[in-house]
Amino acid sequence: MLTNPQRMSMATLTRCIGFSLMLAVGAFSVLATSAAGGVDTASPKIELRVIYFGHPQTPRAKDFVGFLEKHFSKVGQGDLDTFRESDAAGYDVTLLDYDELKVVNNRIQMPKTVVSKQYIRPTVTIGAMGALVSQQLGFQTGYL
Amino acid sequence: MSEAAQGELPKHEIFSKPFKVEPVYETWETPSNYRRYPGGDRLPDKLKVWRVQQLAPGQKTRMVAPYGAVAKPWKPSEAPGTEILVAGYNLGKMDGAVAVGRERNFLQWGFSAPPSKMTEAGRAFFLNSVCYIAKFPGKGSASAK
Repeated sequence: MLTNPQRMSMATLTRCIGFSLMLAVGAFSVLATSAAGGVDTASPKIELRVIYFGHPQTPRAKDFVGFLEKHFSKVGQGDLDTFRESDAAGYDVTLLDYDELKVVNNRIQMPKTVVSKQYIRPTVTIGAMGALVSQQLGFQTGYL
Repeated sequence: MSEAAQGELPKHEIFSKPFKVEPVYETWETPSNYRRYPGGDRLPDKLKVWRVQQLAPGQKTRMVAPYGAVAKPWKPSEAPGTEILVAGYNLGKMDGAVAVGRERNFLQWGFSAPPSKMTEAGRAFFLNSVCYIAKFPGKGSASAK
C-alpha cells in the first residue's frame, strides 16, 4: 500500500508524464506539418534568393511577394516592364509574372520578350502570358 | 485551362521537396473537347483531377480570368532538357496538355492565380517548383520544337 507522500509522488509523476506527452505531441505536430504536406509558415525559410518581376503595387504582385517572403531567405521585386537580364544577377530564381492575357481587336496581344535564348538564370514564367513568352523562345512549354 | 491539374501525381521530387504535395482528388466529367483529338473516343467519362487554385468558389470546370495556359504534350525523351510535370484539365485543347513543364532553365507555371487563391496543395507545388528550377542554371540548350 502506498503512503501519502508516495501517492503525491505518483500524482506528480503522472502530471509530469502527461505534460511530457503533450510536449511530445506538440513537437511531433510541428514536425509533421512540414513533412506531411501543407505549407507551414513556421518552417525555417528556404535558403534561396528569389526575385519577382510583375507590376509592383498591384494586389497580385503584393500577394506573390508577401507569400515568397514567408518562405525564402531573400526576396527581391521589380517591374517587369523595365526588366533586364542583368537584374536577375545575385538571385537564384527569377519569377516573371505577366499577369493577365490581353486581347485587343480579337487578337491576343503578344508580350514583350524580356529574355533571350542566351539567358541562363533559373526562371519561372507564370500563366498564359508566360506561355506566350515560352512560345516566342521556341520552347515546348509554349502556348498551345 | 481550368483550375485543376489532371491525373495522379507522378513520382518526382517536385511533389515532395521541400513540401509534400497532397492533392485532394476529385472526379470531373471528361471535357467534350478531348473527344475531338486522336484517342479521345477511348477516354473514360470521368477523370481524376486535383485543384491547384480556386478563383471561383464552387465552380468546377469553368475557366476564370486571369486565364492559365497549357502546352501541347511532347515526348521528353525526344526533347532533351525538358520535362512534363503535370497535365492541366482544360476546356479547349487535348487530353494530356501540359500545365506545368520545364525546358532547360525555364519552368512554365501554367496556372494563373496568386498564392492566396491557390489550394494548399497548389501552394506547396508552386514553392517546390521555385526550388526545383533553381537546380537548372543554364543547363542544356533549347530543343527544336
